[in-house]
Amino acid sequence: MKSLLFLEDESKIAKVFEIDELKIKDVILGVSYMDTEAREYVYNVLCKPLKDLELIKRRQMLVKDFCENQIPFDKMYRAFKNFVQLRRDITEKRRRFGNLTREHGSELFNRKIDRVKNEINYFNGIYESMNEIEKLFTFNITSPDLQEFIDEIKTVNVYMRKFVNEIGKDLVDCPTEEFNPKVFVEIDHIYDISVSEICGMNKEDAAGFKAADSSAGDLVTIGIDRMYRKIYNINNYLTTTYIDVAKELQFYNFAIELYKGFTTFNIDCTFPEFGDGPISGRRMHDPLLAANLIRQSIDMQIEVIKITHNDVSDLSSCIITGENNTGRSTFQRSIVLTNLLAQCGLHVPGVQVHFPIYESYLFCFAGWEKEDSFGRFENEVIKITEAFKYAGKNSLVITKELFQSTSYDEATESLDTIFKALLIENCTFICVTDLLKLPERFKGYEQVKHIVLDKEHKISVAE
Amino acid sequence: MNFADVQTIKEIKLMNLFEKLLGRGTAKFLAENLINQLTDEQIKERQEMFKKLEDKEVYASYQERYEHLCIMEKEYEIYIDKQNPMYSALIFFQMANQYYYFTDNTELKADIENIRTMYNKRKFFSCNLFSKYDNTRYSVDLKVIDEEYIDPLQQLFDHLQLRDDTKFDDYRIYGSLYDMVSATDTRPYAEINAFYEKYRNQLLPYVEDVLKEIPELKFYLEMKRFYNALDERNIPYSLAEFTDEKSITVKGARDITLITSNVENIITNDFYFNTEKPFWFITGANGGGKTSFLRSVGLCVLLGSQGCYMPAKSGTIMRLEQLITFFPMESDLDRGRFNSEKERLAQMSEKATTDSLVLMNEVFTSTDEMTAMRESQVVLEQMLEKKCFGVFVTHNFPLIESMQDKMPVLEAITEGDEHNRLFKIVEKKQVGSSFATDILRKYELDFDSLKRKYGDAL
Repeated sequence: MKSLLFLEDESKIAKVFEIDELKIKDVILGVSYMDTEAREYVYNVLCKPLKDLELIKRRQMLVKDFCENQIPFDKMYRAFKNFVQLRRDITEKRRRFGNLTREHGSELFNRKIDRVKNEINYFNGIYESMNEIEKLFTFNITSPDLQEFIDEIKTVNVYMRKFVNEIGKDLVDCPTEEFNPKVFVEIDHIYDISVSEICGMNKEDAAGFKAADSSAGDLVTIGIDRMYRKIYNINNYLTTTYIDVAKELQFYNFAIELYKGFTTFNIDCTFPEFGDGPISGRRMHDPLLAANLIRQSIDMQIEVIKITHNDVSDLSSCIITGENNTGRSTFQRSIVLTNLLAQCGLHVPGVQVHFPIYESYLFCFAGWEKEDSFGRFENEVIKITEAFKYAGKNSLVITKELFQSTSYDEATESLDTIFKALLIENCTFICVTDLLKLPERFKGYEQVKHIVLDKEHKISVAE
Repeated sequence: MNFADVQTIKEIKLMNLFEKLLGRGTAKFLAENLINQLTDEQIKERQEMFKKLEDKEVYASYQERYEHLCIMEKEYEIYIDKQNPMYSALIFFQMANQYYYFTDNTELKADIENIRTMYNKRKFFSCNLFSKYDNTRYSVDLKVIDEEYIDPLQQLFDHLQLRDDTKFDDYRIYGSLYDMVSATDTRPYAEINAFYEKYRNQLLPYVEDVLKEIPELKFYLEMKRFYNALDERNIPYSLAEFTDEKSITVKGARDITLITSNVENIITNDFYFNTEKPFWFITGANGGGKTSFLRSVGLCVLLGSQGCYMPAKSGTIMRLEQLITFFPMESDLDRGRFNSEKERLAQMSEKATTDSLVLMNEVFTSTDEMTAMRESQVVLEQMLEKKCFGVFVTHNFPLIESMQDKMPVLEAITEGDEHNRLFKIVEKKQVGSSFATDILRKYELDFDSLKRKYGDAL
């Protein structure tokens, strides 16, 4: 089945390092109510930002179709989620039958028949859900990927319909156990399964055969077993495929909720333009704040900081300073998290936003003493060493309050050297720091801006 | 007012050490028992007890006593659970059977022995293995003495459709079976009932009284296990001596929490506090063991003040009122770290008394140098005014310089080469480098290494 996330090719996914620092989990929690498994899935997708412009555009089109073109996503999502429930049910039922062996005695035959009926009910469950999904797509679709996806569903539905409506012995006679849509055959008669239909005999013969001796019974049993295995494989194939789709749709569910959140709270949002050159945009802000705002509507306990918009232009590497609580980290996230969400194909807060496509996001935030023998400073140095391994053209290195556990002068000296080395590697860095002498070290570096936050959380570029 | 709080025990990583060596439940239990303010007598009593436990025989006898108490406590809990009155007599007897070890009541002992003898003559023996499944069911373990009982029991099991994986020599069956099994030999059962009727109203208060020993005994035995773990690693420890003077002097202190990181040779350090030098700065090499030193001070003072062995060669400490610690917390980040720290420090300053020891690690590092200096000065002046003891870890050299006349400085220094550094904390007149370059060089991120890599471009 066609994937809607385009994550198959690893070479088209940007690298991330220590991404937890970005509080993505909090954003997910704020934007949409999801179970833990779904949250984890969305988190994993967000940890794989795309670095291929074409793929990002294709994701954006899908998000656009779901968000803006009135595709009844909710119903589709529910229908796909139904597969999860169906699989849960069948797993439970299958467990009840266990391995049916001769030890089950005279009951064996009937139990095998029941087991087959069970699988057929399961097949029908899948079939009904698929039909529901097909009926939903009568709307205008702009994304070729979505169109292709729907066409695939339609094709499978055609096969399934054939399978249900026609009588065929392929099911029994087919030499291969693997599922192949071309060997779909109808099986509605299996509900009234009888010896003759399984073995291709007439009823009289079958009755005689059945009564004659145990070898006839064996033959019948073999027939049922083959039929069971066949439909079991088909069911498994279908469910596995559709459960994967259901999981992927969790991401788009998040995308829709994010968009809904923006529109509900009148937050300007857009799909950014991508291209070489520095970051620019108007009315940009931290998506985490928007996420908290959305979350507050269902959980009054959540504290929400007033959203401050900032206009950004011609920004590449920068050193962000300011007094405590002026929103340095928030501003850093408003650039970095927004850029990352954009590379995931999502709407981002802001107007006329322009981003470069980064091939890696490398986070080096102030460390905490871990349960190893290293001190805090050394832990931070280790993080930077790791970041250097991935650093290169189109890498974004994000640092926050590094080297606080050494003297200010030594910290300034060290970061000066490290950042300059990163610039030689053609990396971009966005650094939040309390080392007020650090920006001075980059005077004359045109690509490095010193951004100062004031008490109103507004930015200005220091001379 | 408590001597310390559980957060302090976490911050000096003693909780973590307990967890690794003794398990989570025990760690929590010990932490809760190491925060109380003890009287001189209580401290002395604890120290005496630890000395007594040095004797292996005494230790073994206390351990045996503790084991009996634990079994008795379990049976006591089942007994007072009125949901199963049906088995009260039997459980009561089992409980009394354990109480046997704690009583001098000859009549009671004779009665118990009588029933025991009778039990030993039985064809099968109901052991003291009652365990609680849930609120409504209990298990009874039957040890089959005579093989002729195996078949009838198996039939009984089949009849009751009990699980078929039961082994013949150790049947674990539901309590409901007890009556049926007892019916095969009713005499001891009748004796147990008689025993129950005789003692049910008088024995319980005594049992409850003995059970009160459990927490205390558990504390000593678990702490002893902890010290045994230190013995295995050849880490010395000693009991603190107490002084009426306002001073603390400890020699050969170790940060034993490093054993969880498999550090083999833990460096020892001496430290002292007195009225002339009550509050110290610590600065110096990154990774040079400043935090470790701070922890070793906390560990020695905490354990010593609680009447336990300190991880040190020797030490004389005053009777402190409180041990207060301040370590930056990850949770501070969520509330804006600077403000959160400021808030916590204000509370701490208010709490600190003259007879407190205050340990502060890297305070106000989330702001610029001058702000950090100003805010730190405020806190330190308050502490100095209160004349409490303390240590303040910092890299803020302007702060140290501004207060050097009031506070002495300890410096973490390193010896040996960059790959094999030895750490020592020494008293310093002048403060120097934090040795950040050493660590950066180790990872080839210092100026020279990067210059070699990038040449003139850098």
